[in-house]
Amino acid sequence: MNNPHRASGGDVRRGRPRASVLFVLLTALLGVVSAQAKEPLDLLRDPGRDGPRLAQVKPGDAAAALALAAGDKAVVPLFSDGFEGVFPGTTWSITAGSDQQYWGRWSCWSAGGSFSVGSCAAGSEAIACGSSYNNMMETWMSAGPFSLADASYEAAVFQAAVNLNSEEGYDYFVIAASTDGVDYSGDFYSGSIDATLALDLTALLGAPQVWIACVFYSDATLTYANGAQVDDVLVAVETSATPNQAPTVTVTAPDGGETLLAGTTATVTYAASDPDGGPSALTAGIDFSSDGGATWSTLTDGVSASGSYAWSVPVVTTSQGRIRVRVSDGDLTASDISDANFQVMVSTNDMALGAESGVSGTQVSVPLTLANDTLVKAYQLDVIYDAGVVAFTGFQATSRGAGMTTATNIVSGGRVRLVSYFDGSSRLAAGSGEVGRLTFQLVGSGGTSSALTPADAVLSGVEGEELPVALAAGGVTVEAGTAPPVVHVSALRNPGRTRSVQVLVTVLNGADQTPTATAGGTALTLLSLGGGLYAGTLHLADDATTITIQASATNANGTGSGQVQLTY
Amino acid sequence: MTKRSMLLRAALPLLAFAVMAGCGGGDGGPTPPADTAASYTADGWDAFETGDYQAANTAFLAALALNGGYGPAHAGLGWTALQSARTSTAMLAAAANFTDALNNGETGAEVSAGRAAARLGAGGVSLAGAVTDAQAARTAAPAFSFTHRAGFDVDDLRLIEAFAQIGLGNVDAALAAADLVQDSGIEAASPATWQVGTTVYGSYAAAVLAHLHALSEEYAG
Repeated sequence: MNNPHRASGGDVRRGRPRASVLFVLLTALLGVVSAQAKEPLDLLRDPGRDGPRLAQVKPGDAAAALALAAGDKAVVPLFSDGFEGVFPGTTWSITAGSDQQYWGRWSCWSAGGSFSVGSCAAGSEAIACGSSYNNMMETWMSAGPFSLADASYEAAVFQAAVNLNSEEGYDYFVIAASTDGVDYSGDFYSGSIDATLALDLTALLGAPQVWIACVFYSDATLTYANGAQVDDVLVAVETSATPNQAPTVTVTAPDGGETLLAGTTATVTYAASDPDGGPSALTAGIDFSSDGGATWSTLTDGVSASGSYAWSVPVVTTSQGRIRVRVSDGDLTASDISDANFQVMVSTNDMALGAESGVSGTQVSVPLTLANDTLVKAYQLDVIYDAGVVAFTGFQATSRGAGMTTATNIVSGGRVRLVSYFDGSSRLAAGSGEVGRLTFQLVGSGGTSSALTPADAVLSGVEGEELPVALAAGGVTVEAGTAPPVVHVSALRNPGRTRSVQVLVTVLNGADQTPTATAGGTALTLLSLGGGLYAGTLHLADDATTITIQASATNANGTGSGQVQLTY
Repeated sequence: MTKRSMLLRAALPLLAFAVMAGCGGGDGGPTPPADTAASYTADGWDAFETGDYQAANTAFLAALALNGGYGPAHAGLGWTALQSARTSTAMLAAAANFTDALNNGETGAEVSAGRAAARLGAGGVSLAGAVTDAQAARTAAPAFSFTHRAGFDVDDLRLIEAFAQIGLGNVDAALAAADLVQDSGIEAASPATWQVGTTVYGSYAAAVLAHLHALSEEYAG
């Protein structure tokens, strides 16, 4: 820093008669009293070689002023401008001693982003980067008003990042504020500065209107390159009001490593919360990136932050998928991105179950086919069926799947889980065709059918990685056949040595309706349990020593019956 | 008037007679100890073990007349009610006696076993409870054997569970319970195993039923 100088507490009046230089000197020395100026900044333009006793700007000065923003109370920005957009626009008001040089936006320097404003960047004699400003110039940029009337405000500050290169002690940059837009008070700087300068506005708390201004002016001799450059202007207050706390959000799925199948519906899940519940209910926006977060496309926005979102995975192929969830409490926002990339694949793997038919009481063998475009080590598949129509009896690896080890598990009535895998180093080469066969016993009556619905498929690649797979359902139809029902009757005595008996009836080849049953000539009610199984409860009289239980069922091909005899 | 209160009314004259007989001894010997709920209950079990369920019922009711909260008498009443039940409603009433026993501090396998049998006899929606009770009894006494009836043991509990499961349509669960009594070799996915005795059945369910029927004939009732 090249001996920068600061004159604290100097007052500036715009549009008022000029005061004498002596008065200015005295007031500047006292540092408090306002001066009269006929022309803007005239009173400051020539403070003289013996002018105010100038204090050196210390690095700690700016830091101390900025402590406002580092306290434990809420700091609320009232106004900020990084000059990355239009300047002066409607925000700033520009005035100058002439139209030759005044504040304008340029890119010769910036504290952040690409642009700042330079004191000589606009006008008929606007300078290029590195060129010197004119002698006897002055230019103002002012903004406002802002209200500091809120009773909860405890401190206020106007700060700006400044790069100043001026004749020390003669050409000045001023950071100032006013409560009427005419009389400004502020701090004077000259020499070489590259720092964030701050003007304490706390004394103006309670004022309903406050303007801020940045001023640069030069004297009659010696000019330097660039003059004053200003960036990142901020007006902020410290308030005693309880600060709103920011919400939080964490993406939980997809959070990296997943493989999603294009065209399917995936569930985006996230955990969102707002520690103080306000000021508004949390809303969420969700974005998808196919390039690791470089660019984003919005999936939804402004919806209630429910924690999940049904996402129709786009038809793209990428290994750099990311999800971003943004939440807002109406004031503050938070966002989170998948921790790592996930994959979106357009599947070319298909598993399909075949369609077969047969007469009730017989078995059918249903093919399972797989079309895979890469090596497959194993697969798992649930098949859902109607247990009242078919009964699963077995699964074997066949054709392309020969050599794979299979296992089955009846998950529940009407749902079987198939597992098929290679024990050793063998793999299923890319190709298409049958890999296994499922065997079902047909227990329904003629004309019934059962869909064979695949679900929860897992297709594993060479390293066990999950491969996307599309599924297609099959089915089994029970033909009318030519055989009448085959009826079996069982009577189960109660082990408690009571006179009650469980009567169970099975019917093969199908029945048009629930079988009829009698016990000792008395009708017995049977209830269907599904799958051709019927049950009833019988209570024997004390004098019944031998009783015959009969049941009969009818289909289009005739009537079948069965019986059992109990002796007590 | 409920069946239980009717039986109690029938028991009271007997009680009065017993008391009078006890007081009328003229030989000057020692006074016999007073009857208690426990002694009546013991009498009830004695009658039960001889198959005299009417006498057992009377004794258990006498015990409850002295102490309505005497759990062992409720349990005994349940077992006698179970033997005489001829309808699903009566089976449920027997089950209620076992519940009364549980509510009056009775624990153990014999109470759960009795209620399991009663609930199996009631059928229908009570079958799920029969499964639960049979499993509870086996858990409480893995080597269960009913004190008052030789031959009613842990295998009968397994059969109660199997018969209740098949009544619920749970063929796999029924076979699993029954196979603990006697392995059938039946496998759902292997039609060649759907055989009981010399008969090969056309369906897995029919084979399981035939197996249960054979076990019933051999072990139950």
